[in-house]
Amino acid sequence: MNKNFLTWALLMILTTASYLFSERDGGVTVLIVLLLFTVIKIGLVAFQFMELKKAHVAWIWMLGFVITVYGGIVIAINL
Amino acid sequence: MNTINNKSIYYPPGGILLWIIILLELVTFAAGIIAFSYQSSLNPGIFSDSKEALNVHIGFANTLILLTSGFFIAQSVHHLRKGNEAKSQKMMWGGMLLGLGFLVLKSYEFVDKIEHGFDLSHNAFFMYYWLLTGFHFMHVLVGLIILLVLAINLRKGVYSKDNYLDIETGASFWHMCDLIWLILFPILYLL
Repeated sequence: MNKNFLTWALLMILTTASYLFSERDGGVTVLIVLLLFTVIKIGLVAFQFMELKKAHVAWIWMLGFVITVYGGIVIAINL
Repeated sequence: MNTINNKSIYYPPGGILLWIIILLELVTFAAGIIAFSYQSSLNPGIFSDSKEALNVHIGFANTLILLTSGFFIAQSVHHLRKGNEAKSQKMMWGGMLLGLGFLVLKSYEFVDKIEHGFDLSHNAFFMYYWLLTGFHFMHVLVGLIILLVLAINLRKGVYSKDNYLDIETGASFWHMCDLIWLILFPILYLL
């Protein structure tokens, strides 16, 4: 199966899951789950669609660093 | 012919300049979202009430549209590399049509907000809403113009399986719009 198609299908599933999960009143749990889904989706787009998987590992670390710091601060603010 | 080694730190897919821009854009939007979250923690009532005014269904639909557009553009690059220019063109136009759909739906949402008095000066929530989504809207618009130029050149036969770097760079810019929206959507609409 085409990897782009598989990535797209996963993105659709995760986006729909985020949408449905957000309707739950779960406070910090909902925040963490939605941010986790977001990080996975960013990873899927970056690695497959943007082909970061072919790039030097430094670019992967830089993107990972930005996303981790962003997610960490947002969670810390909301705790 | 493209003989670039993407494993070199100087040649990531799409080009080093674009990846520097991508990281700077992500940092900029992340800073905006962090400021939004901080303000939200100071004024939870205003932010919670204001979020009720947003249409989460439109936000959800727009996310699906933009990600599907990204898939079409990724397929366009894939088919061009395989030497199938005709299919690459179809995918490119399909991706652009979906991108235009995103802008139309977002414009409808913007007009609806203005009609209900939720403009930039309404409160802190809508100030961030307009700045973040407005700035993203501009990125998608620029991305569409880039894709249009690429699609026209693709039609003229400028690009082929041996010459696709411009298409790869344009596609990376378009996916950057996906990445930014993936950060904005949950924070503005879902949480």
